[in-house]
Amino acid sequence: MTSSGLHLDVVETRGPLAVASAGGRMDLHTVAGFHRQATALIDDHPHLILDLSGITFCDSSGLNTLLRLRRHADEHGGRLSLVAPADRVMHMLRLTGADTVFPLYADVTEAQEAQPPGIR
Amino acid sequence: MLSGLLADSHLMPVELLSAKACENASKAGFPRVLIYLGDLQRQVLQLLTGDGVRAEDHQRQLPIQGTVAGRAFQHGQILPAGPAAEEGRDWWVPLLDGTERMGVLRVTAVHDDDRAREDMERLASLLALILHSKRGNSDLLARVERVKPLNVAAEMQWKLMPPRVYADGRVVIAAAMEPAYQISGDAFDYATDGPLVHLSVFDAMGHDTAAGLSANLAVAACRNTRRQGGGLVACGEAVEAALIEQYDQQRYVTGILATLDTRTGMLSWVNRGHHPPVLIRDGRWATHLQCPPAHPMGTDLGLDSRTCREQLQPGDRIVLYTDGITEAGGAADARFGIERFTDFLIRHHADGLSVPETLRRVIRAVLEYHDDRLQDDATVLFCQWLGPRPGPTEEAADLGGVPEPGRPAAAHREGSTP
Repeated sequence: MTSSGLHLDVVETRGPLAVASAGGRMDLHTVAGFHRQATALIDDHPHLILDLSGITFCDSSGLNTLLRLRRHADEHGGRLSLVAPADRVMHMLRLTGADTVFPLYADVTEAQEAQPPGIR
Repeated sequence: MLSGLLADSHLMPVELLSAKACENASKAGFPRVLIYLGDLQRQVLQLLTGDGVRAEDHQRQLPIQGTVAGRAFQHGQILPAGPAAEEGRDWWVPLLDGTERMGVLRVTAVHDDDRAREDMERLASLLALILHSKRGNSDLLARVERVKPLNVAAEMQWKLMPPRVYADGRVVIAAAMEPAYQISGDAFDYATDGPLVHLSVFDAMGHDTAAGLSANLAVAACRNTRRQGGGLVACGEAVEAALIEQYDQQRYVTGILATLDTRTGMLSWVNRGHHPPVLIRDGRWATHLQCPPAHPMGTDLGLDSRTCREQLQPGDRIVLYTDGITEAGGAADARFGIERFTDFLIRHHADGLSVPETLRRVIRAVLEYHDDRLQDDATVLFCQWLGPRPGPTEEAADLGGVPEPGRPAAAHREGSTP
Protein backbone atom coordinates (compact mmCIF):
# COMPACT_ATOMS: atom_id res chain seq x y z
CA MET A 1 0.00 0.00 0.00
CA THR A 2 1.30 3.45 -0.86
CA SER A 3 1.48 6.27 1.66
CA SER A 4 -1.70 7.74 0.20
CA GLY A 5 -3.72 4.83 1.56
CA LEU A 6 -5.21 4.12 -1.86
CA HIS A 7 -3.51 1.80 -4.29
CA LEU A 8 -4.06 0.42 -7.76
CA ASP A 9 -2.54 -2.95 -8.66
CA VAL A 10 -2.56 -4.15 -12.25
CA VAL A 11 -3.50 -7.82 -12.25
CA GLU A 12 -3.26 -8.52 -15.96
CA THR A 13 -3.25 -6.76 -19.32
CA ARG A 14 -4.13 -8.24 -22.68
CA GLY A 15 -4.44 -5.99 -25.73
CA PRO A 16 -7.11 -3.36 -25.03
CA LEU A 17 -8.15 -5.10 -21.79
CA ALA A 18 -6.71 -4.56 -18.33
CA VAL A 19 -7.74 -6.00 -14.99
CA ALA A 20 -6.75 -4.01 -11.92
CA SER A 21 -7.66 -4.03 -8.29
CA ALA A 22 -8.05 -1.00 -6.05
CA GLY A 23 -7.74 -0.97 -2.28
CA GLY A 24 -7.83 1.54 0.57
CA ARG A 25 -9.70 4.79 1.14
CA MET A 26 -10.97 6.82 -1.79
CA ASP A 27 -11.28 10.42 -0.63
CA LEU A 28 -10.16 13.94 -1.45
CA HIS A 29 -6.66 13.28 -0.11
CA THR A 30 -6.00 10.03 -1.93
CA VAL A 31 -7.69 10.20 -5.32
CA ALA A 32 -5.26 12.44 -7.24
CA GLY A 33 -2.44 9.88 -7.62
CA PHE A 34 -4.91 7.07 -8.17
CA HIS A 35 -6.65 9.03 -10.88
CA ARG A 36 -3.36 9.69 -12.72
CA GLN A 37 -2.35 6.04 -12.54
CA ALA A 38 -5.72 4.73 -13.69
CA THR A 39 -5.93 7.29 -16.51
CA ALA A 40 -2.55 6.16 -17.81
CA LEU A 41 -3.69 2.54 -17.65
CA ILE A 42 -6.84 3.38 -19.64
CA ASP A 43 -4.74 5.22 -22.26
CA ASP A 44 -3.12 1.88 -23.09
CA HIS A 45 -6.01 -0.44 -22.20
CA PRO A 46 -9.34 1.37 -22.58
CA HIS A 47 -11.33 -1.69 -21.47
CA LEU A 48 -10.60 -1.61 -17.76
CA ILE A 49 -12.04 -4.04 -15.25
CA LEU A 50 -11.62 -2.49 -11.84
CA ASP A 51 -11.98 -4.66 -8.75
CA LEU A 52 -13.24 -2.46 -5.91
CA SER A 53 -13.59 -5.13 -3.23
CA GLY A 54 -10.63 -3.68 -1.32
CA ILE A 55 -12.06 -0.15 -1.06
CA THR A 56 -12.82 0.59 2.60
CA PHE A 57 -14.16 4.15 2.22
CA CYS A 58 -15.47 6.24 -0.66
CA ASP A 59 -16.60 9.86 -0.51
CA SER A 60 -17.83 12.26 -3.19
CA SER A 61 -14.29 12.74 -4.50
CA GLY A 62 -14.00 8.96 -4.86
CA LEU A 63 -17.22 8.74 -6.83
CA ASN A 64 -16.12 11.68 -8.95
CA THR A 65 -12.89 9.86 -9.77
CA LEU A 66 -14.80 6.77 -10.91
CA LEU A 67 -17.07 8.95 -13.08
CA ARG A 68 -14.09 10.71 -14.65
CA LEU A 69 -12.38 7.39 -15.37
CA ARG A 70 -15.60 6.11 -16.90
CA ARG A 71 -15.69 9.11 -19.21
CA HIS A 72 -12.00 8.71 -20.07
CA ALA A 73 -12.57 5.07 -21.03
CA ASP A 74 -15.58 6.04 -23.16
CA GLU A 75 -13.57 8.69 -24.97
CA HIS A 76 -10.96 6.07 -25.80
CA GLY A 77 -13.53 3.68 -27.21
CA GLY A 78 -13.40 1.45 -24.17
CA ARG A 79 -15.44 0.79 -21.04
CA LEU A 80 -14.87 0.90 -17.32
CA SER A 81 -16.39 -2.12 -15.56
CA LEU A 82 -16.65 -2.26 -11.77
CA VAL A 83 -16.31 -5.45 -9.82
CA ALA A 84 -17.56 -6.28 -6.33
CA PRO A 85 -17.88 -2.77 -4.90
CA ALA A 86 -17.83 -2.88 -1.10
CA ASP A 87 -21.05 -1.85 0.70
CA ARG A 88 -19.98 1.75 1.21
CA VAL A 89 -19.13 2.17 -2.45
CA MET A 90 -22.33 0.45 -3.54
CA HIS A 91 -24.35 2.71 -1.24
CA MET A 92 -22.79 5.77 -2.87
CA LEU A 93 -23.42 4.39 -6.38
CA ARG A 94 -27.09 3.70 -5.58
CA LEU A 95 -27.69 7.04 -3.87
CA THR A 96 -26.44 8.93 -6.92
CA GLY A 97 -28.01 6.72 -9.56
CA ALA A 98 -24.49 5.89 -10.78
CA ASP A 99 -25.21 2.18 -10.26
CA THR A 100 -27.25 2.37 -13.45
CA VAL A 101 -24.45 3.77 -15.63
CA PHE A 102 -21.57 1.46 -14.68
CA PRO A 103 -21.43 -2.15 -15.76
CA LEU A 104 -21.29 -3.93 -12.38
CA TYR A 105 -20.13 -7.49 -11.82
CA ALA A 106 -19.85 -9.79 -8.87
CA ASP A 107 -16.35 -11.00 -9.75
CA VAL A 108 -13.59 -10.56 -12.30
CA THR A 109 -14.43 -13.71 -14.25
CA GLU A 110 -17.99 -12.53 -14.77
CA ALA A 111 -16.70 -9.14 -15.92
CA GLN A 112 -14.26 -10.76 -18.33
CA GLU A 113 -16.98 -12.93 -19.83
CA ALA A 114 -19.16 -9.88 -20.37
CA GLN A 115 -16.55 -8.06 -22.44
CA PRO A 116 -17.38 -7.66 -26.15
CA PRO A 117 -16.00 -10.31 -28.49
CA GLY A 118 -12.45 -9.59 -29.51
CA ILE A 119 -11.66 -7.92 -26.21
CA ARG A 120 -11.69 -11.07 -24.06
CA MET B 1 -39.33 56.12 22.00
CA LEU B 2 -39.81 54.02 18.87
CA SER B 3 -40.56 56.84 16.48
CA GLY B 4 -37.43 58.72 17.58
CA LEU B 5 -35.27 55.65 17.05
CA LEU B 6 -36.95 54.96 13.72
CA ALA B 7 -36.24 58.49 12.54
CA ASP B 8 -32.61 58.22 13.67
CA SER B 9 -32.13 54.87 11.97
CA HIS B 10 -32.08 56.19 8.40
CA LEU B 11 -28.77 58.01 8.73
CA MET B 12 -26.94 56.04 11.35
CA PRO B 13 -23.90 53.81 11.29
CA VAL B 14 -24.37 50.71 13.39
CA GLU B 15 -21.65 52.00 15.74
CA LEU B 16 -24.17 54.61 16.95
CA LEU B 17 -27.05 52.19 17.43
CA SER B 18 -26.57 51.40 21.13
CA ALA B 19 -26.13 55.05 22.04
CA LYS B 20 -29.19 56.09 20.02
CA ALA B 21 -31.22 53.25 21.50
CA CYS B 22 -30.33 54.41 25.03
CA GLU B 23 -31.06 58.04 24.18
CA ASN B 24 -34.53 57.27 22.84
CA ALA B 25 -35.41 54.52 25.29
CA SER B 26 -34.43 56.52 28.37
CA LYS B 27 -37.40 58.82 27.67
CA ALA B 28 -39.66 55.78 28.07
CA GLY B 29 -38.09 54.55 31.31
CA PHE B 30 -35.26 52.41 29.93
CA PRO B 31 -32.06 54.28 30.81
CA ARG B 32 -29.69 51.59 29.56
CA VAL B 33 -29.82 49.24 26.56
CA LEU B 34 -27.07 46.82 25.56
CA ILE B 35 -27.19 44.65 22.44
CA TYR B 36 -25.82 41.10 22.45
CA LEU B 37 -25.76 39.07 19.24
CA GLY B 38 -25.53 35.30 18.88
CA ASP B 39 -22.51 33.88 17.08
CA LEU B 40 -22.89 31.79 13.92
CA GLN B 41 -22.70 28.57 15.88
CA ARG B 42 -25.27 29.78 18.41
CA GLN B 43 -22.96 29.01 21.32
CA VAL B 44 -22.23 32.48 22.69
CA LEU B 45 -23.74 35.96 22.81
CA GLN B 46 -21.36 38.83 22.09
CA LEU B 47 -21.71 42.49 23.01
CA LEU B 48 -22.20 44.94 20.16
CA THR B 49 -19.79 47.75 20.97
CA GLY B 50 -19.91 51.28 19.62
CA ASP B 51 -20.12 54.88 20.75
CA GLY B 52 -20.68 54.89 24.50
CA VAL B 53 -20.46 51.10 24.78
CA ARG B 54 -16.91 49.96 25.47
CA ALA B 55 -16.16 46.26 25.74
CA GLU B 56 -14.15 46.71 28.97
CA ASP B 57 -17.12 48.23 30.83
CA HIS B 58 -19.43 45.24 30.33
CA GLN B 59 -19.58 41.49 30.02
CA ARG B 60 -18.32 41.07 26.50
CA GLN B 61 -19.26 37.44 25.89
CA LEU B 62 -21.90 35.16 27.46
CA PRO B 63 -22.32 31.45 26.78
CA ILE B 64 -25.80 30.44 25.56
CA GLN B 65 -25.65 27.25 27.58
CA GLY B 66 -26.00 27.76 31.32
CA THR B 67 -26.69 31.52 31.55
CA VAL B 68 -29.91 33.46 32.10
CA ALA B 69 -29.19 35.48 28.96
CA GLY B 70 -28.80 32.21 27.08
CA ARG B 71 -32.09 30.95 28.46
CA ALA B 72 -33.85 34.09 27.26
CA PHE B 73 -32.33 33.38 23.83
CA GLN B 74 -33.19 29.67 23.81
CA HIS B 75 -36.76 29.96 25.02
CA GLY B 76 -37.69 33.37 23.61
CA GLN B 77 -38.63 34.72 27.03
CA ILE B 78 -37.99 37.99 28.80
CA LEU B 79 -36.05 37.10 31.96
CA PRO B 80 -34.69 39.20 34.83
CA ALA B 81 -30.96 39.91 34.55
CA GLY B 82 -30.59 40.84 38.20
CA PRO B 83 -32.46 41.72 41.38
CA ALA B 84 -34.79 44.71 41.54
CA ALA B 85 -32.90 47.82 42.67
CA GLU B 86 -33.80 51.40 43.42
CA GLU B 87 -33.03 52.60 39.90
CA GLY B 88 -34.97 49.73 38.35
CA ARG B 89 -34.24 46.25 37.17
CA ASP B 90 -32.22 44.70 34.33
CA TRP B 91 -33.89 42.30 31.89
CA TRP B 92 -32.78 39.98 29.11
CA VAL B 93 -35.05 40.51 26.12
CA PRO B 94 -34.95 38.19 23.06
CA LEU B 95 -34.00 39.89 19.80
CA LEU B 96 -35.86 38.41 16.85
CA ASP B 97 -35.62 39.29 13.19
CA GLY B 98 -38.93 37.82 12.02
CA THR B 99 -38.45 34.48 13.72
CA GLU B 100 -34.67 34.36 13.33
CA ARG B 101 -33.07 34.65 16.72
CA MET B 102 -30.40 37.34 16.54
CA GLY B 103 -29.46 37.66 20.18
CA VAL B 104 -30.73 39.40 23.30
CA LEU B 105 -30.96 42.92 24.72
CA ARG B 106 -29.98 43.78 28.25
CA VAL B 107 -32.43 46.50 29.20
CA THR B 108 -32.61 48.48 32.45
CA ALA B 109 -36.27 49.22 33.16
CA VAL B 110 -37.40 51.78 35.72
CA HIS B 111 -40.87 50.26 35.89
CA ASP B 112 -41.77 46.62 36.39
CA ASP B 113 -45.21 46.05 34.88
CA ASP B 114 -46.91 44.60 31.80
CA ARG B 115 -46.58 47.86 29.94
CA ALA B 116 -42.81 47.92 30.50
CA ARG B 117 -42.50 44.34 29.25
CA GLU B 118 -44.50 45.13 26.15
CA ASP B 119 -42.39 48.24 25.50
CA MET B 120 -39.16 46.28 25.91
CA GLU B 121 -40.43 43.73 23.41
CA ARG B 122 -41.31 46.46 20.92
CA LEU B 123 -37.91 48.06 21.39
CA ALA B 124 -36.31 44.68 20.68
CA SER B 125 -38.43 44.23 17.54
CA LEU B 126 -37.43 47.62 16.18
CA LEU B 127 -33.74 47.14 17.03
CA ALA B 128 -33.82 43.76 15.28
CA LEU B 129 -35.21 45.38 12.15
CA ILE B 130 -32.60 48.13 12.26
CA LEU B 131 -29.81 45.60 12.82
CA HIS B 132 -31.12 43.58 9.91
CA SER B 133 -31.09 46.63 7.66
CA LYS B 134 -27.43 47.31 8.55
CA ARG B 135 -26.26 43.72 8.18
CA GLY B 136 -25.31 44.03 4.56
CA ASN B 137 -22.94 46.93 5.03
CA SER B 138 -21.27 46.55 8.40
CA ASP B 139 -18.09 44.66 9.20
CA LEU B 140 -18.68 45.37 12.88
CA LEU B 141 -21.89 43.31 12.75
CA ALA B 142 -20.20 40.58 10.75
CA ARG B 143 -17.40 40.44 13.34
CA VAL B 144 -19.64 40.36 16.38
CA GLU B 145 -21.36 37.27 14.96
CA ARG B 146 -18.15 35.25 14.89
CA VAL B 147 -15.81 34.07 17.61
CA LYS B 148 -13.18 32.62 15.28
CA PRO B 149 -12.15 33.14 11.67
CA LEU B 150 -14.35 31.81 8.86
CA ASN B 151 -12.94 30.00 5.87
CA VAL B 152 -13.63 31.56 2.48
CA ALA B 153 -16.44 29.13 1.65
CA ALA B 154 -18.21 29.94 4.94
CA GLU B 155 -17.84 33.66 4.19
CA MET B 156 -19.61 33.05 0.88
CA GLN B 157 -22.26 30.61 2.10
CA TRP B 158 -23.57 32.59 5.07
CA LYS B 159 -24.07 35.53 2.74
CA LEU B 160 -25.77 33.34 0.17
CA MET B 161 -28.30 31.53 2.32
CA PRO B 162 -31.61 32.86 3.70
CA PRO B 163 -32.09 33.37 7.47
CA ARG B 164 -32.05 30.14 9.42
CA VAL B 165 -35.63 30.45 10.64
CA TYR B 166 -38.88 31.40 8.97
CA ALA B 167 -42.45 30.96 10.14
CA ASP B 168 -45.95 32.02 9.14
CA GLY B 169 -49.36 30.40 9.63
CA ARG B 170 -48.62 27.78 6.97
CA VAL B 171 -45.07 26.61 7.59
CA VAL B 172 -42.22 26.72 10.05
CA ILE B 173 -38.81 26.40 8.43
CA ALA B 174 -35.53 26.09 10.29
CA ALA B 175 -32.03 25.25 9.13
CA ALA B 176 -28.68 24.51 10.70
CA MET B 177 -25.23 24.03 9.24
CA GLU B 178 -22.05 22.87 10.90
CA PRO B 179 -19.17 23.36 11.16
CA ALA B 180 -20.48 26.92 10.90
CA TYR B 181 -17.04 28.49 10.66
CA GLN B 182 -15.49 25.97 8.25
CA ILE B 183 -18.03 25.11 5.57
CA SER B 184 -17.04 23.32 2.40
CA GLY B 185 -19.70 22.53 -0.17
CA ASP B 186 -23.08 22.53 1.57
CA ALA B 187 -25.84 25.09 1.10
CA PHE B 188 -29.54 25.30 1.85
CA ASP B 189 -32.17 27.54 0.32
CA TYR B 190 -35.86 28.23 0.78
CA ALA B 191 -38.31 30.87 -0.33
CA THR B 192 -42.01 31.57 -0.20
CA ASP B 193 -43.78 32.25 -3.48
CA GLY B 194 -47.50 32.92 -3.11
CA PRO B 195 -48.97 29.66 -1.79
CA LEU B 196 -45.76 27.77 -2.63
CA VAL B 197 -42.74 27.22 -0.45
CA HIS B 198 -39.53 26.16 -2.19
CA LEU B 199 -36.98 24.13 -0.27
CA SER B 200 -33.59 22.80 -1.31
CA VAL B 201 -30.31 21.48 0.00
CA PHE B 202 -27.12 21.08 -1.98
CA ASP B 203 -23.91 19.20 -1.30
CA ALA B 204 -21.01 20.00 -3.60
CA MET B 205 -18.27 17.38 -3.81
CA GLY B 206 -14.93 18.08 -2.21
CA HIS B 207 -13.91 20.05 0.84
CA ASP B 208 -12.14 22.99 -0.76
CA THR B 209 -13.02 26.53 -1.78
CA ALA B 210 -14.09 25.23 -5.19
CA ALA B 211 -16.75 23.17 -3.40
CA GLY B 212 -18.02 26.43 -1.90
CA LEU B 213 -18.03 28.02 -5.35
CA SER B 214 -19.95 25.08 -6.81
CA ALA B 215 -22.56 25.36 -4.05
CA ASN B 216 -22.96 29.09 -4.74
CA LEU B 217 -23.35 28.39 -8.43
CA ALA B 218 -25.96 25.72 -7.69
CA VAL B 219 -28.09 27.95 -5.45
CA ALA B 220 -27.87 30.91 -7.84
CA ALA B 221 -28.72 28.85 -10.95
CA CYS B 222 -31.64 27.22 -9.15
CA ARG B 223 -33.06 30.52 -7.89
CA ASN B 224 -32.56 32.15 -11.25
CA THR B 225 -34.54 29.45 -13.03
CA ARG B 226 -37.22 29.32 -10.35
CA ARG B 227 -37.74 33.07 -10.47
CA GLN B 228 -38.28 32.86 -14.22
CA GLY B 229 -41.05 30.34 -13.62
CA GLY B 230 -39.01 27.16 -14.15
CA GLY B 231 -40.09 23.99 -12.34
CA LEU B 232 -38.05 21.60 -10.22
CA VAL B 233 -36.73 19.52 -13.10
CA ALA B 234 -35.74 22.69 -14.99
CA CYS B 235 -33.94 24.01 -11.89
CA GLY B 236 -31.89 20.82 -11.62
CA GLU B 237 -31.04 21.01 -15.30
CA ALA B 238 -30.01 24.67 -15.01
CA VAL B 239 -27.67 23.80 -12.14
CA GLU B 240 -26.22 20.97 -14.18
CA ALA B 241 -25.67 23.25 -17.18
CA ALA B 242 -24.01 25.97 -15.07
CA LEU B 243 -21.67 23.46 -13.44
CA ILE B 244 -20.69 21.82 -16.71
CA GLU B 245 -20.02 25.21 -18.26
CA GLN B 246 -17.67 26.15 -15.42
CA TYR B 247 -16.10 22.82 -14.51
CA ASP B 248 -16.50 20.56 -17.56
CA GLN B 249 -17.72 17.56 -15.55
CA GLN B 250 -14.85 17.80 -13.09
CA ARG B 251 -17.17 18.78 -10.23
CA TYR B 252 -20.65 17.86 -9.22
CA VAL B 253 -23.32 18.83 -6.74
CA THR B 254 -26.01 16.55 -5.32
CA GLY B 255 -29.25 17.93 -3.97
CA ILE B 256 -32.94 17.75 -3.24
CA LEU B 257 -35.16 20.36 -4.87
CA ALA B 258 -38.64 20.53 -3.44
CA THR B 259 -41.79 22.63 -3.51
CA LEU B 260 -44.58 22.47 -0.97
CA ASP B 261 -48.02 23.68 -2.01
CA THR B 262 -49.31 25.00 1.30
CA ARG B 263 -52.91 25.04 0.06
CA THR B 264 -53.02 21.27 -0.30
CA GLY B 265 -49.97 19.92 1.52
CA MET B 266 -48.65 18.36 -1.69
CA LEU B 267 -44.86 18.08 -1.62
CA SER B 268 -43.17 17.77 -5.00
CA TRP B 269 -39.50 16.96 -5.18
CA VAL B 270 -36.65 16.01 -7.42
CA ASN B 271 -33.73 13.91 -6.25
CA ARG B 272 -30.39 14.70 -7.86
CA GLY B 273 -28.21 11.96 -6.43
CA HIS B 274 -28.92 12.89 -2.83
CA HIS B 275 -30.26 11.38 0.39
CA PRO B 276 -34.05 11.30 0.14
CA PRO B 277 -36.04 13.54 2.53
CA VAL B 278 -37.27 12.15 5.82
CA LEU B 279 -40.94 12.58 6.75
CA ILE B 280 -41.88 12.73 10.44
CA ARG B 281 -45.57 12.15 11.09
CA ASP B 282 -47.61 12.48 14.28
CA GLY B 283 -44.40 13.51 16.05
CA ARG B 284 -43.72 9.80 16.40
CA TRP B 285 -42.40 7.97 13.43
CA ALA B 286 -40.12 8.75 10.56
CA THR B 287 -39.89 7.41 7.04
CA HIS B 288 -37.59 8.00 4.08
CA LEU B 289 -39.47 9.20 1.02
CA GLN B 290 -38.62 7.34 -2.15
CA CYS B 291 -37.81 8.79 -5.55
CA PRO B 292 -35.42 7.28 -8.08
CA PRO B 293 -32.42 9.60 -8.24
CA ALA B 294 -31.31 11.40 -11.34
CA HIS B 295 -27.54 11.79 -11.61
CA PRO B 296 -25.65 14.39 -9.55
CA MET B 297 -25.80 17.82 -11.19
CA GLY B 298 -22.70 18.44 -13.29
CA THR B 299 -22.01 14.80 -14.20
CA ASP B 300 -24.12 14.65 -17.37
CA LEU B 301 -24.85 10.94 -16.97
CA GLY B 302 -28.14 11.29 -18.84
CA LEU B 303 -30.47 9.76 -16.23
CA ASP B 304 -34.09 10.91 -16.30
CA SER B 305 -35.00 13.53 -13.74
CA ARG B 306 -38.53 12.99 -12.47
CA THR B 307 -40.75 14.81 -10.02
CA CYS B 308 -42.02 12.68 -7.16
CA ARG B 309 -44.98 13.65 -4.98
CA GLU B 310 -46.02 13.06 -1.40
CA GLN B 311 -49.31 14.13 0.19
CA LEU B 312 -48.56 15.67 3.59
CA GLN B 313 -50.92 15.92 6.54
CA PRO B 314 -51.08 19.10 8.62
CA GLY B 315 -48.32 18.90 11.23
CA ASP B 316 -46.04 16.71 9.08
CA ARG B 317 -42.38 17.58 9.20
CA ILE B 318 -39.99 17.20 6.29
CA VAL B 319 -36.25 16.98 6.92
CA LEU B 320 -33.69 17.52 4.18
CA TYR B 321 -30.11 16.76 5.19
CA THR B 322 -26.60 16.18 3.92
CA ASP B 323 -23.85 13.60 4.45
CA GLY B 324 -22.35 15.10 7.57
CA ILE B 325 -25.47 14.35 9.60
CA THR B 326 -25.20 10.65 8.99
CA GLU B 327 -21.70 9.98 7.85
CA ALA B 328 -19.38 12.40 9.56
CA GLY B 329 -17.14 9.58 10.69
CA GLY B 330 -14.88 10.25 13.65
CA ALA B 331 -11.62 8.38 14.13
CA ALA B 332 -13.52 5.12 14.60
CA ASP B 333 -15.72 5.93 11.60
CA ALA B 334 -18.72 5.85 13.88
CA ARG B 335 -21.91 7.18 12.32
CA PHE B 336 -24.37 9.36 14.08
CA GLY B 337 -26.99 7.87 11.86
CA ILE B 338 -30.14 9.38 10.45
CA GLU B 339 -32.23 7.20 12.80
CA ARG B 340 -30.52 8.61 15.85
CA PHE B 341 -30.86 12.06 14.36
CA THR B 342 -34.61 11.83 13.75
CA ASP B 343 -34.98 10.25 17.16
CA PHE B 344 -33.34 13.31 18.69
CA LEU B 345 -35.60 15.59 16.66
CA ILE B 346 -38.73 13.78 17.78
CA ARG B 347 -37.69 13.66 21.43
CA HIS B 348 -36.66 17.32 21.72
CA HIS B 349 -39.75 18.38 19.86
CA ALA B 350 -41.88 16.54 22.38
CA ASP B 351 -40.25 18.69 25.08
CA GLY B 352 -42.24 21.64 23.71
CA LEU B 353 -39.22 23.58 22.51
CA SER B 354 -39.42 25.89 19.51
CA VAL B 355 -38.19 24.47 16.23
CA PRO B 356 -35.02 26.60 16.02
CA GLU B 357 -34.07 25.68 19.58
CA THR B 358 -34.71 21.98 18.88
CA LEU B 359 -32.47 22.17 15.84
CA ARG B 360 -29.76 24.01 17.78
CA ARG B 361 -29.72 21.24 20.37
CA VAL B 362 -29.79 18.41 17.85
CA ILE B 363 -26.90 19.89 15.90
CA ARG B 364 -25.06 20.36 19.21
CA ALA B 365 -25.60 16.65 19.87
CA VAL B 366 -24.21 15.72 16.45
CA LEU B 367 -21.12 17.84 17.13
CA GLU B 368 -20.60 16.37 20.58
CA TYR B 369 -21.00 12.87 19.23
CA HIS B 370 -18.06 13.60 16.96
CA ASP B 371 -15.98 15.41 19.60
CA ASP B 372 -16.54 18.71 17.77
CA ARG B 373 -14.63 17.42 14.76
CA LEU B 374 -16.91 16.99 11.78
CA GLN B 375 -15.18 15.68 8.67
CA ASP B 376 -17.98 16.70 6.39
CA ASP B 377 -20.53 19.51 6.40
CA ALA B 378 -23.68 18.63 8.29
CA THR B 379 -26.74 20.54 7.10
CA VAL B 380 -30.39 20.19 8.04
CA LEU B 381 -33.33 21.98 6.50
CA PHE B 382 -36.53 21.36 8.39
CA CYS B 383 -40.04 22.30 7.29
CA GLN B 384 -43.29 21.70 9.12
CA TRP B 385 -46.53 22.17 7.25
CA LEU B 386 -49.20 23.64 9.52
CA GLY B 387 -52.06 24.25 7.11
CA PRO B 388 -53.24 26.52 4.28
CA ARG B 389 -53.76 29.85 6.06
CA PRO B 390 -50.88 32.33 5.98
CA GLY B 391 -52.03 34.57 8.86
CA PRO B 392 -50.35 34.42 12.27
CA THR B 393 -51.43 31.63 14.60
CA GLU B 394 -50.53 30.66 18.12
CA GLU B 395 -49.10 27.39 16.83
CA ALA B 396 -46.74 29.15 14.40
CA ALA B 397 -45.69 31.58 17.14
CA ASP B 398 -44.91 28.69 19.52
CA LEU B 399 -43.01 26.66 16.95
CA GLY B 400 -41.14 29.71 15.66
CA GLY B 401 -40.22 30.80 19.19
CA VAL B 402 -41.87 34.23 19.15
CA PRO B 403 -41.93 35.73 22.69
CA GLU B 404 -45.38 36.06 24.28
CA PRO B 405 -45.67 39.87 24.47
CA GLY B 406 -44.37 40.29 20.92
CA ARG B 407 -47.09 38.30 19.22
CA PRO B 408 -49.58 39.95 16.92
CA ALA B 409 -53.05 40.24 18.42
CA ALA B 410 -54.48 37.66 16.05
CA ALA B 411 -51.95 35.09 17.22
CA HIS B 412 -53.23 35.33 20.77
CA ARG B 413 -56.54 33.85 19.74
CA GLU B 414 -56.56 30.14 19.33
CA GLY B 415 -55.90 29.14 15.72
CA SER B 416 -57.54 32.26 14.28
CA THR B 417 -56.47 34.02 11.13
CA PRO B 418 -57.42 37.51 10.05
